[in-house]
Amino acid sequence: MFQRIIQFAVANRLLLVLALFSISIASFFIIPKLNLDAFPDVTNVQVTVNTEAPGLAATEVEQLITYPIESVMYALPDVKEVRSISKTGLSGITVVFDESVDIYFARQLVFERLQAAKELIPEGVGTPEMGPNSSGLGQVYQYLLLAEPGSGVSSMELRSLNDYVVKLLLMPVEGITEVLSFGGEVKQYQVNLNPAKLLSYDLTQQDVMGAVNKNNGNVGGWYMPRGQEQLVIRGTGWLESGKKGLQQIQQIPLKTVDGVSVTLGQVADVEIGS
Amino acid sequence: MSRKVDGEVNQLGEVVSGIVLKRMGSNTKATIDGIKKRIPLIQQALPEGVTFEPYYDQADLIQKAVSTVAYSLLIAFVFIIAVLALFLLNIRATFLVLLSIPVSIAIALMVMSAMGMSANLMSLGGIAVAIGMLVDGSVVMVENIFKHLSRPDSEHQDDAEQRTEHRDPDPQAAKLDSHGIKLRVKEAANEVARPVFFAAMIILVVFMPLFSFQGVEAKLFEPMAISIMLAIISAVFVAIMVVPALASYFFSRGIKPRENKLLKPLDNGYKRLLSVALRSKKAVITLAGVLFVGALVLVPRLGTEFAPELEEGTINIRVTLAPSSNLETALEVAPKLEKILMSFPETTYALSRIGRAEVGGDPEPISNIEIYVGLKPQSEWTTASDRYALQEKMEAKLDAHPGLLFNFSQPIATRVDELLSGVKSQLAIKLFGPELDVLARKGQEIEGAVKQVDGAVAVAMEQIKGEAQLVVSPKRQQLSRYGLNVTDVLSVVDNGLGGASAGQIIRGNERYDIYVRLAKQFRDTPESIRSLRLLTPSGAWVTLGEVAHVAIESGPPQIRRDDVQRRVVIQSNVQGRDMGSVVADIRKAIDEKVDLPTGYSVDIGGQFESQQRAQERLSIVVPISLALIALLLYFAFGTMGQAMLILVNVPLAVIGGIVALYVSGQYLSVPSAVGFITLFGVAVLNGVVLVESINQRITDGHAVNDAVFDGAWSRLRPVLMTAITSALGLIPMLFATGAGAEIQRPLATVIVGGLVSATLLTLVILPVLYPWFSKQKIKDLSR
Repeated sequence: MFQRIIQFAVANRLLLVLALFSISIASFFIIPKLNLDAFPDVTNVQVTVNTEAPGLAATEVEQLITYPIESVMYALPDVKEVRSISKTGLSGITVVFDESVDIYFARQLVFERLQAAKELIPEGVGTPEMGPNSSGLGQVYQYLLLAEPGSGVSSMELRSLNDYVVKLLLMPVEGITEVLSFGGEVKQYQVNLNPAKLLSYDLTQQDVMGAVNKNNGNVGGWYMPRGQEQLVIRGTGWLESGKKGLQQIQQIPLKTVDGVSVTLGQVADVEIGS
Repeated sequence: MSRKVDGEVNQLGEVVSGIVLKRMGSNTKATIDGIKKRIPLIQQALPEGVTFEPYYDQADLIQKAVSTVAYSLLIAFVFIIAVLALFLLNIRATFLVLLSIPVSIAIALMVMSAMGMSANLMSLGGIAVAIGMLVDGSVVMVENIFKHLSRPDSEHQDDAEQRTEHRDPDPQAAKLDSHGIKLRVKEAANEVARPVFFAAMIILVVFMPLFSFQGVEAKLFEPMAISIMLAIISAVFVAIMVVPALASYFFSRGIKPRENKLLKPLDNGYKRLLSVALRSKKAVITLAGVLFVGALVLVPRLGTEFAPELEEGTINIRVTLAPSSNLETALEVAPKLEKILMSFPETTYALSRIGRAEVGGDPEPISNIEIYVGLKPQSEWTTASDRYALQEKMEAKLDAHPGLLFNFSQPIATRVDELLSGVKSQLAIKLFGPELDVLARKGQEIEGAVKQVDGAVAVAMEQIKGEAQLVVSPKRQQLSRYGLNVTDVLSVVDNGLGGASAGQIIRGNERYDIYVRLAKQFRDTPESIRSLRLLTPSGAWVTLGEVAHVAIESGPPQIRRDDVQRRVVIQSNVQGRDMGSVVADIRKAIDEKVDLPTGYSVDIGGQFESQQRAQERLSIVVPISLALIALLLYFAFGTMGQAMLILVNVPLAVIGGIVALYVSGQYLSVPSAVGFITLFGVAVLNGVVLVESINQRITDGHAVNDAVFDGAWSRLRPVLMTAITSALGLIPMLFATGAGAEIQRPLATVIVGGLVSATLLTLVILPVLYPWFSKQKIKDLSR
């Protein structure tokens, strides 16, 4: 066999020179396309399920959220291990699959099971969600948003900038699965109730929440023909943002006493906070 | 905090940071390049006074890792050129041999690209390991072509003699050679094609069992094995096809043989040594036996570990505060710690993160500060020579703050450990059991016991107790008197104290919750909570304090479970000792000092798990590799005796490998085991070359003793040349300090050490042993 190979090689030596030439040309184009990583990725096939349960203590998180999810995950095929952590306000479950399982298939399996698990979790406690599809080498890039001293940009505004400007610009980059925010304060419109005033007007927190809900919404009203054209009909009742929004929230009527309406501002302070 | 260009420390205060997560399997470099392209766009979109500043970028690490490997490759290349030029004394021949390196590497990389494999420290490292072996085939090929062209064989001899009679001045002149250079090249190539192919086969076969690795070790070393195999396969292609073809061009005018004056003394020295050895066979064999036993004695003194830690150029310090500390405390402590860290000239920045990011990152409580410390390149360090020493000094300084717990690691390592075992340290001693109280108590006992163990550092139990909680528990009797339900009480806790969202305010992409809860002054002390009022069905008002206990208690901040069992982890890192013996000591300490109730069990996991699994697997893989080599040798030589004779190289190689590890203070680890496996493949080749040459002479009818002597010394040069190129190719890896060099160092150490001992001893011992192992073969050959 070797004789024939060598015979061929020496007889067609020009061909081999051409082959070498084309290999070197091809390598210029192909090699830069190699996936470059620092280290091989040693992460196993795992899917995480996170549930945020604001305000719940660890014991409740474990009993109400972690356990129901954990128990359904065991039934999945090729599961090697299920680990969980229940902390104040957070339940995290890691389902580790056998190496041979495709990560997207594993995620799909977990997702299907998660629907069943959701039924087992008491309503309003928290909604389990699958974690990002990333690995041990996943945190590839970290950055800071800095406000120059004296620029008047607060850390709350920085956080909003990160959540709604920077993130949205980064997400379309190929290969990014998630951008997580860290630090700063999440902006909220806070309605801080005064229980004494609520009592005096014979109102409950539920009444307030219902009223806010009833006074914040946009709807569509289909079309209206207008000669050759048509108009889209909208009903716009969204609360506006910023100071105006605060005012609008304060003006929300809660009930009518002797023909005078009681507004939200009378029983609560409304402010932007975190 | 960061350091400005002029070295001044710059206080940043509280900032917002973002962590970009890469999708599993996507191209890291391309992703980061994509981000970098977006930065101007982001900067544009940000308002005046706000800047976007990257502080951690894995591309730096990639850059460093790639340049480590590239540097090794380059140096190795230069070494090999020098050796080849010295041995061959011919520029064209040297060039021809060298050609196999870039061509094999290019083909290997292209195949990797086509297979979708990623180029990383390990796969590129594999190529760097292989570089010396890549030339072996071509060396043998060129050497033989050389021989044929400079020394005419019988056919050409007749031809030349005829011409000499016609007073031809140069009997070997190519233009007068009627057979043509092409024919001579072909003949030369035919002679060695089989052994060259066979040698490559041995290396390929040796690596096969590595694919039975599991878990982390598989993911680390399989890319390496694949890239080595690809490079070797391409090298064979170059040696068998490209070299003969190009040789027929390069040497078309023949070559002038030149006496190699440098190597002459080497030849003579070897001849003398060989004749002495052949006379005193027993002494030689005893000496080798003693050396081998001596090396084996060293084995228990070598520590064991899974794999050396990779240097990432960034330290990650986890600071644990008391579990009940609040954000303000953490915010107060963090800058102080940063300041201490910045006082080290090695740090470029120190940045702390408190608590956890949004869901999807690591689940950390507020009592946890994570400090990223950027480091300058190691060569610029002044306070300490390596990371461990630096960490120690940092910790000593940080300890000025009492009550804090520090855990030093590196960002990728930390995250990988967390994902693999749910623990961010090398060793995780897991205590399983149903009751949190018992777990906490027994866990503390274990923690105490482990702290006594030498080599266990940063021993810490997870906090599973001590979170201050305000517990509101309904008094059922009172409730039933007032006609209230438990939910009435609990909804105060849930909605009133906790609050709930009542819709969102939407502005473009932004969405903010409208959050309804009691105003702060009505819920910020237990007293104010007790005095909250509830409406009973009868229309009367009662305070919460009347129908429920409101008390401060201590509760668990977290509950972790593995396979539905609650567990607490005592974490520990290992420093200054090898992991294997530290674990053994920990086991002993726990057995002796801690008495566990029924239903509770201890398990040691973390990196140690991988090490044990790898060790078990290696104890099967190594014998299989050896058996496969033996099988191949049997096929090649036809007798078991000669196969065994060649396998004598294995213990000879082991001597050097072990001594090299011991001398350099490295541990027996998975990379060093892979080094041994590679070493067996390479070392055996020397034996093959020698035995084949001796056999050849016996077939030609020489007496056994003459055949042994002549056969051995005639192969001195190729044996030395291939061994030296293989070893020199690895030398740069021994001394490399760049990122990632540490994982390949044990591998390179073993191969270089082993090649030295195997080559030197083979040249003496194999000829000595030849007659005893080859009785059957000699009979067959001389028939």
